[in-house]
Amino acid sequence: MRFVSKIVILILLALSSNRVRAETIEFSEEELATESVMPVFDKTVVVRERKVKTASRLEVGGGFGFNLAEPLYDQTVFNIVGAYHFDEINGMNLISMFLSSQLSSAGNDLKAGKGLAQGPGLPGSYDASRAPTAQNITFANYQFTAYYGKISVTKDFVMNLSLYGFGGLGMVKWTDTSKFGLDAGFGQKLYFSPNSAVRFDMLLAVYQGADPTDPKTSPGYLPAGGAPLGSSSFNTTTYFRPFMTFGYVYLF
Amino acid sequence: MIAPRRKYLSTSLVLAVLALSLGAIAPSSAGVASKKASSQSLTESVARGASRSDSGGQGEGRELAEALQFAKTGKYAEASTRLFQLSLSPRFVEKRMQIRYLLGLMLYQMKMYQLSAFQFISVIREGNNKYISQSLEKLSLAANELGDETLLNYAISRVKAESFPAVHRDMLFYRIGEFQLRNEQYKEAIRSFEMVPDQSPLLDKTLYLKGLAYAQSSDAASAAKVFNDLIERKKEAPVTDMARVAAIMGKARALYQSKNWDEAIQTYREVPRDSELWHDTLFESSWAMLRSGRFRSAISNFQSLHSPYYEESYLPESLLLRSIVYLYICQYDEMDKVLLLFSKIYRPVFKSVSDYLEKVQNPVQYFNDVVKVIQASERPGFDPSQLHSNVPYLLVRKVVKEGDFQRSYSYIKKLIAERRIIRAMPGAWKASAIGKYSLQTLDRRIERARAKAGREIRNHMIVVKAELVDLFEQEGFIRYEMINGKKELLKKRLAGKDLPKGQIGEDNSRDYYIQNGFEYWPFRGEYWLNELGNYHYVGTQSCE
Repeated sequence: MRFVSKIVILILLALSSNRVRAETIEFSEEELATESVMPVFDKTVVVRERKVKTASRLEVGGGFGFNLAEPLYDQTVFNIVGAYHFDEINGMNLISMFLSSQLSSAGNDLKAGKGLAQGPGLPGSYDASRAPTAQNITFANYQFTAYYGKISVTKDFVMNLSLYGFGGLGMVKWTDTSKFGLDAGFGQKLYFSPNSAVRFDMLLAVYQGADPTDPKTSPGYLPAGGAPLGSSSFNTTTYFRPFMTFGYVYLF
Repeated sequence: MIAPRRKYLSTSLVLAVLALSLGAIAPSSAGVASKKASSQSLTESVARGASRSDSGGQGEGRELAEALQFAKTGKYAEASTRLFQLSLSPRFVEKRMQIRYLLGLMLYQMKMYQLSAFQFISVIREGNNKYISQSLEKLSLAANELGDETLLNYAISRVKAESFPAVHRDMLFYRIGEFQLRNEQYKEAIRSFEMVPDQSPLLDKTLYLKGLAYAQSSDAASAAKVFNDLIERKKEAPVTDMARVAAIMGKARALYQSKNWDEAIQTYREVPRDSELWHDTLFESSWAMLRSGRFRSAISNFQSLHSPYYEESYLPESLLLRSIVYLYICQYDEMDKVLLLFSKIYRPVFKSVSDYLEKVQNPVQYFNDVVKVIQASERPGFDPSQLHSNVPYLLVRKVVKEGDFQRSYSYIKKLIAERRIIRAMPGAWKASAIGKYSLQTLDRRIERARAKAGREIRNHMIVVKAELVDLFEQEGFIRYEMINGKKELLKKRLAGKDLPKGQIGEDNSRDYYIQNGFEYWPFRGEYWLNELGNYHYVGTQSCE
């Protein structure tokens, strides 16, 4: 408690000493903005001499994220991103996500039989690790940057930001096969400088693949201890998987 | 040092442009009223013409009656063909003026205002006939439609107000006042404007010009009062209503003229930001701020005015004014930067203008070159840096705002529209004598109007060249003052006196108290549309 109050006092002291050094500049009230409308020009340009210029620039980065609707496997994904901007609005990007084949805590519980009815003829355990999993998802997208602006993070720290949407198609690599997939999403970049930024993406991937809850083979479920099965041993289903990713990108 | 007279001159110029833009932008409902009324009176005129034609010889009377029958039934094209033939026929020498007047009426109805004007002029020039007063009236209407100064002057200098139809009398007084104002007959202009009735749809424009006439006759108090009346009259109008905003600007200028700096600044602030005239307030209010000693406020305005949003605007005086403000607060480094910027922008402009004036003599080429730039700038994705023209883009922007050029350009566009109407006429009409005459006449007229507009452009370029020479001289004086100021500073330093605080920019941290919860956005090099007009200079006085 004493430690916390010391920190608070130090912060207050730092702030007050800063104020003492500051020079007071008075502005009369009427000189401050009273209108929220903008000046009119023959051609409206929202920003001139923008700090972050992306036209004809390549962007490369990487990060991590989550497969938000994955029940059986580890939700963590790692991703690498590349983009080329034709101009300030239009561009192409390539998003590649590496998914984990490890079981999630829920998957491990099922494998251990937790919560499953025990007894003769009943599935005493369920081992999803025996089923094939999606290992990598790669999409090539058209990217549309709809907004470029700036945000005041603190009084002295302003960041530029851009908002964009994207959509495209790609491949999903399963343990033993590959399938086509589609995706659409949106994202935001917060720029530290004209060359570097953090990137937040939200995308929905749609693809087909083996359904681990629906094996064709007897006994109709996956008891623990068996050998891994191939995609052909499962009925196919369509996945709608939302992903949320974060990463750092650098613009060349 | 720049003298305040420059401000007065530039204000007058801007006022003239404003007067025009007011006319150009505010749609004249008078025009609509005029059209209805003129249509009615034209029918009456044709009827009168018909009754007169019956009194002629039998054969002649029949041919004329046929033409009039076409006119009465609204077949103006057929009527005009017949009337044109009759006007050239030696058999109708005695009735030529009547025929030309009627032909003018037909062409007017077909919206061929220039051609109709020629018919009315020929009737007026001939003199000694009973169609003069009617022709003058119709000529005034045609000239009003065309907005051609020469025709208007010709018509209104001959017309008698009392014999002019009451329905159009407001237009007549307005145009007479406008003409007198242009000829610096301010008292007469004010009297003419006072003859425009309160119910006239031309009242807004009339009040504005009346205020302008007072301002130009150095009666700033009366000017401010008239502008105030117009503001009151438009208090229910939308905030950005052109007449309302122009009246606010007029009032602010009148207050400036009467050296009432504070009220002028306050009135300038009433100009809404989303109005086309707001940009002018940035520069004009800076003068008032300088005169009232508000240096920081003036520089704040310049931060907006010298942003890339205005990089294609011709504003040499504003840069020198900014440097003067820096001189007042002894910010010599900033001052040097501004003077360098002035040279960087305007020395090449001066060279281009000088070369162009020397190389090009044909006025039509002046017009064509400027129009090419105007057309290029209207295309989507236009980039001024990619423009290949002998005339600098910022100079074109200046010239196209000049009142005389705007009038000429508008007149040319109306002539071209008239030629389009002729080209769209039926083949038989185009092949007839009147069709050929019309096209030839209009082509000639358009060519002459282009040459006139070209001469106006050339004159403006000559003025710009002379103005730049003057401004370069001013720049030299200002630079001298700057060096002198630096020298004095060094002297004090050598004498060991207390030195002023460091120059702006030496200390990158510009912290200061934020007043009443307002947020300070440090300047980061980007210029945002929504920040224009909101920049605040935070530098300090560096003079000892």
